[in-house]
Amino acid sequence: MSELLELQLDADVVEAGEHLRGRVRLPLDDGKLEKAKALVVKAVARVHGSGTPETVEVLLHQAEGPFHGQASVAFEHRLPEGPVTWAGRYVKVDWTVQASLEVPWAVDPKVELPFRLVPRKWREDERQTG
Amino acid sequence: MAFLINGRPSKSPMAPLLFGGVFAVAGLVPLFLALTQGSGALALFGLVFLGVGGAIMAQGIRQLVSRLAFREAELQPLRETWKLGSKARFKLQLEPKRPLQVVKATVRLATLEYAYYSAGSDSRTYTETLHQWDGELSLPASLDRRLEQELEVEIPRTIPPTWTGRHNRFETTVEVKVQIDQWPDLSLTQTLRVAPEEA
Repeated sequence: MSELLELQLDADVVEAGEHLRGRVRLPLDDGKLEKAKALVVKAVARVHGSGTPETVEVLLHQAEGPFHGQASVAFEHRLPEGPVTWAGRYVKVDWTVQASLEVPWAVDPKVELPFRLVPRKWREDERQTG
Repeated sequence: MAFLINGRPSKSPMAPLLFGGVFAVAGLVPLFLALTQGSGALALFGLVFLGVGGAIMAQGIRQLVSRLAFREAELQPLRETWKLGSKARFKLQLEPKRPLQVVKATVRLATLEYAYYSAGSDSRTYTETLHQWDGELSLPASLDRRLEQELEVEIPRTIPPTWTGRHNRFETTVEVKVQIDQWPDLSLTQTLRVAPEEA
């Protein structure tokens, strides 16, 4: 976890194909924020277990710097239909939101927060139309 | 003969026939060399290949022969995708060339997770059955004309929806197996697309 960035999600359980909303809080009075070139927020599914690991990445938000004076950056993006969070014997799927601040000639501050992608509940109006 | 399911073959018997054929032919070469050079090790090597190839080919021949009794053997889903907790419906179409006696017919829903690992020359496949349901299918004892029957299979809420990655995947299949008197079993398999939605 980074001291410079803080991630907040509206919900830590998101339905497949629905929107993930949240914000990256940027602490004020930091020289890095003035120098920062870009903020990148991604949702990453890490598929691991006994097979060769692979990742599924979704770009949630990309903003150009500098961010001086900005308290937070909100993001919202539709997540893919899958893979849903899973813990099997040979296949495991873990979703996280990753935010990183691109700062030239410095270590990029990064922050990561796990969430669960679950199957979408069928709404009542869909139930009637089939 | 219609073996096509949604425009693509379902478990074509040609794959095991070809694969087994290649194995068997590969076994014939060391066997021939063993006969000319009198080498026991080469003969054993050739026999192993020939045996494995023959067994795989036999599976393909069984599949091919089982379908030869039918003018049409098809299992078709009534929709493209199915939700978790819903009932997947299929149409089974069988048209025998001559009257056949059905001993037993079964239907199986299976969800598996596959993990492929490869590093250098080392490659492995891990498979785990996450869910399996077996049921009996009610078919007439004597199959003497075209049969069209709908069947329903409940998709549990607890399975992972269909997903295919580069090295990992979740897959759900439905298999109908018909045991025929004095004839190889007929097997029709269809892969279901399970949507990440709950009914």
